[in-house]
Amino acid sequence: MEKHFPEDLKYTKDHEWCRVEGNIATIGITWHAQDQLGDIVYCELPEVGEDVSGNRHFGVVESVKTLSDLISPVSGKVVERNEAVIEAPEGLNEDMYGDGWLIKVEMSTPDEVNGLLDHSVYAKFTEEQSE
Amino acid sequence: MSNTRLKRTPLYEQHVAAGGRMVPFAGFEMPVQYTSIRSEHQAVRERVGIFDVSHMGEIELLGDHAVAVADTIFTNGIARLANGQACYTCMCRPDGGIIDDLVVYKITNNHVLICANAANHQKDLAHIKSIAANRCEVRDTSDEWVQIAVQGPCAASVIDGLIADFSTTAIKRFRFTHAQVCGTKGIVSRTGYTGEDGFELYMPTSSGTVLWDALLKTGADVGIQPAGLGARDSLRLEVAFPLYGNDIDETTTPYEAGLGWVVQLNKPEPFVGQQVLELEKQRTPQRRLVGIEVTGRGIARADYQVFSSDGRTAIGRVTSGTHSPSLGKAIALAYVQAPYTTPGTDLAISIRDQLVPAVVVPCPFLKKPASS
Repeated sequence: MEKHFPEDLKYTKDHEWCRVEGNIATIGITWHAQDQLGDIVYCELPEVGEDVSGNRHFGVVESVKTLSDLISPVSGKVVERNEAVIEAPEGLNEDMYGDGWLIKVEMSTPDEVNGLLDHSVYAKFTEEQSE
Repeated sequence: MSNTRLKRTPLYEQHVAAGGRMVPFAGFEMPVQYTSIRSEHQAVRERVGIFDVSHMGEIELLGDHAVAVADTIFTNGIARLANGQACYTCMCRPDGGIIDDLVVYKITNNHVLICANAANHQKDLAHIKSIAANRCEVRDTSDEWVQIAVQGPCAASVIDGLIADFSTTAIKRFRFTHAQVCGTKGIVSRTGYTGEDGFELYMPTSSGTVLWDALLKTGADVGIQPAGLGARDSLRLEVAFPLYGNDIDETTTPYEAGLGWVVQLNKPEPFVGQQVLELEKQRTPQRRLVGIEVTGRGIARADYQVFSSDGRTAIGRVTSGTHSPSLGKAIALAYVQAPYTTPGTDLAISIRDQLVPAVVVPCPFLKKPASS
């Protein structure tokens, strides 16, 4: 899949994305994150009902060669998690903004979204990181 | 990123042109992958892959006593090899700790070629010179060689397409010959680090790019792929080949590492470390390197702690671990205490502060049908 950062998402410098619909934030990893990891073979996510905090660890993804902590863009309660990517983690490489989403969070502090990066700022950030 | 101090192999431009992701490794800029580790791994297991291994060090011993000197340096027997035969060996300190693991080629009775791990190259050179003293010439020829590993079930047919005056059927496992490859004379050795049939080519540096391109062109029909350090690591781990710096180092001995089979205690002259290793052979080592399969969820990685299955006793440490692309499960090598080394023993591995069930399994993890 070609490098891309959809315009309707918000991003973090930890390479997570966030899609905000009302009070619910869907969270995943960016094209850049999965590209750096390579073939993803394992994914560990919080249970439904658990709390996650903005800027805090909420899970792990691992590739053949390494592992990476997942850092939540927002705070709140996990209302859904993607069982399909736990069963078949390669989905994170194949469709990271679609079927490869990770968790949905009912936000406790929706203002946190204002601190996230828009697609152009994030794209520039990844380019600087690659230099 | 500042790479001014990193060396490049003669094939650097080839890697970049093929989309290789270059990373620092043992002082070199090396490709960790080109497309994906999984795809490169699979190419080697099912067809053929080529690896640039020019970062490895080459050290040559020359002179009438070259073979005798080699036998005092290495744990395995060199004099017993035929000319044109190679062996895997350890090189130990007087206390039995492993300085490096290497492949040693007996070219003639007065010429030995040593292939050393890149990270250990200078250390090895100093050690070898100190043991050789003035008994033979020790030459570091690393910059004179480009080294390419051609590995996989189709490796022989690819090499056969590039040689005119002989066939690879004449080279048995751990044998080598001098031959013209793509019109340049070099060494063709039936060795490798993947568990597959395969060859390592030692060629003059100047011939490297032509040879690399010719291999890719000749192998295109059978689906050849360039493969990087990532696949090299996952391939070697599936067949439980130790990686220096992870699974073995100066604090581990060949017997602890399950490498007793490369220790020859009956050579005409003793080798460095022999006295200690003779004693160790008579006792059961306190710990041993074993294969582990994670049966719970998670992947064991280097330095994770190993516990008894009830989680009460810390019994060891993981030295290498990954998700095996061929087996589809998490495998690891770990040093564990003597009572826990038997295959079938249940263990637990601490993965991010959670105890995850695991079991000792026989090595290699991946059993391949015997090849020629």
